Amino acid sequence: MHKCLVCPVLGSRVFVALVLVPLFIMTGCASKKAAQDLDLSGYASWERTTQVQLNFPIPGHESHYRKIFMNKVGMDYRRANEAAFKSGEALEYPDGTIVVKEIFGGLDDPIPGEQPATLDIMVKEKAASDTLGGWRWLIGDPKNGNEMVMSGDFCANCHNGANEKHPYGDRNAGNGFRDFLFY
Amino acid sequence: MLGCMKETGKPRTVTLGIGSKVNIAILATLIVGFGAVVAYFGISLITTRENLTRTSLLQEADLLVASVENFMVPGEAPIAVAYFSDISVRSPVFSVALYRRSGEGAFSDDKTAIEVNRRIGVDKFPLHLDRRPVFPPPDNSAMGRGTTLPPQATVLEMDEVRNGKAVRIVNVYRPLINLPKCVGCHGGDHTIRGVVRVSTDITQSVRAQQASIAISGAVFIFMVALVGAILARFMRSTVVSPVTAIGELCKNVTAGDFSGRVDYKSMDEIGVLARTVNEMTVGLRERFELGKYVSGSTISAIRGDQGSKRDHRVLLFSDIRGFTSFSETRDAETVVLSLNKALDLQARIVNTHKGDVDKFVGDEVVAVFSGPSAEERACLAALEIHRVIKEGFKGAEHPLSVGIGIAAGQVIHGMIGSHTRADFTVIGDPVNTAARLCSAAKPGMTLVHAQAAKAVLDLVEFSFKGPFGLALKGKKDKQVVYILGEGEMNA
Repeated sequence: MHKCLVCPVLGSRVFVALVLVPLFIMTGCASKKAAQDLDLSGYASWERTTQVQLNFPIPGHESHYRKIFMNKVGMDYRRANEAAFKSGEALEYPDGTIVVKEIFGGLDDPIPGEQPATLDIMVKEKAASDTLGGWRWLIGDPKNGNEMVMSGDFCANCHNGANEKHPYGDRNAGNGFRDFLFY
Repeated sequence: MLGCMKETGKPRTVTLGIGSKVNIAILATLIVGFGAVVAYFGISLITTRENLTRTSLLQEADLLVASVENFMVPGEAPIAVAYFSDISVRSPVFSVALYRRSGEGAFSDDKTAIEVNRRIGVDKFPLHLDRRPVFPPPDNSAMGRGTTLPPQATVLEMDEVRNGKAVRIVNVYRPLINLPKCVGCHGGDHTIRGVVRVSTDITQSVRAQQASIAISGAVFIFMVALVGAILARFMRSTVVSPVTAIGELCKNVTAGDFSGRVDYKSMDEIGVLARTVNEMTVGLRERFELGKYVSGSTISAIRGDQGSKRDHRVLLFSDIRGFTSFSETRDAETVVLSLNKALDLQARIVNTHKGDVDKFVGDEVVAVFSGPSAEERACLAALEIHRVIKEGFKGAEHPLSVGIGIAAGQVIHGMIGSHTRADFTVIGDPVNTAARLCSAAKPGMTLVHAQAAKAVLDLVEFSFKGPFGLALKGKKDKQVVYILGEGEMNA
């Protein structure tokens, strides 16, 4: 069994969750091309998309605590369409919208100052050829600030559930198009 | 030219004919060219078949996954079970299977139904189903790739033995994702719910593909052989045969046979070469024939090799003794035959000793020797002429013999005559002296003037009698002469 050299208490499960799974995703699904001209500096000061405590397991992110941030472009759009969002009408975020989802090691609340293990990023760019559902899907490494574009449909396939009934949160009662965002 | 080593270690060369070289080059080109086409065809066939099979199976797997998702969400798991039970045995060459992420066959027990019932708090899904599909064990590596993040579909092509027959099977393993809409029943703590496998037996298509490749290969070999044979025949008729004929003609010309011609009428390069060689042969024959009637010096002068100048020469005059009385008592044909025989024998001897027959004057031969040891060669020629004439006419009713005179000194040689008829000949006192000595010589005798003899008196292959004083017509003083004989006879 592998023991984590940094924090032996956490053990191999954490090592797999924090290191191997992101590594597999980055090396397997991610293309070798790094995202260019993507400025995520200060994303932590962006608004959170939900106040729901995302401390429950979900497919894709499994048993990892999440925090979701959206830049001003997206939040302005959401605020302008607040009524539609609540009523379940269709939404389609404008180009330039960026969503950053911090993925932490476990389901417990992160301790103050704890760095996320990975960043799952969505960038809206409808006309780009390498997008799925109008979004470019990326994975970022908070340690070195690098981002890699995901080449497979693994992310988009799962997030497509936000566009039909039975999503998380309000369960999309209106069956509206939520533009691949659950929250 | 191919070099190789003999057992002795000395290099040995093996020469390929031009036809063989061209044929080898053409066949190599054909093999490479046609071979590339056949290889490309075979590879394309295999690649296309693999891609079609792969794409088709992946699409079928997608359909199955979509079916599973749509059966499960409304809570119709029993329908999914029946669906899989039906299509899993629908075709002997096509089968489907669904595995849990643990590798167990889906629907093989009530484990999932119990878990789902527990999660939704209702015994919605019945247990102990009558119809349960039975799936063969999956490939572990494909299951690993399908259940590890990020999940990957896997295509496996493998040979198996089914019912005692070797078959080629293509398996597609496609992960079944635990979508958000599945979470309500199956929980959200895992991403992969299971793996769908779609299998198809491609034995027949592989055999058809192999047959196509085999037929293509056979056609390829046949075409190479056919085209090679056609080209070989073409090369033989247009290149090899004429070149061989030209070579044969050149060989015959070298041996002195000018009668042959290359019979190749084409207007191509080989035809031009054949005509040129034919014309060259005609020219050589003319020159050869001319040499019988014209001295070598004359021919050289015609070629522009020599001009008129004074030089040292040795003159040899040979005259047949008693030929006048001989000719008066014989018919003309016999006379000409005998004369030609005697002259031919003498001319050959002169040529053998690198002399030049300047002219024939009736039954007389006038020969000129020049260069180093000209006196020695002239004397040797004289001795041989006596010997050969004697042997050549041995047993004849009237044997012939010759008298020979040899003189040396400065002569003028050049084209002598009119603008319509001229000979390249020599004039001067040594010419007259040699002619007079020839007239004075008795049958079988060679008289050598002292100026010529002094160069060879000491040579052991000759013997000389003399010196004698001999009065010659046109000479005021007696001339010092020697009688030439075989070696060791000096008196």
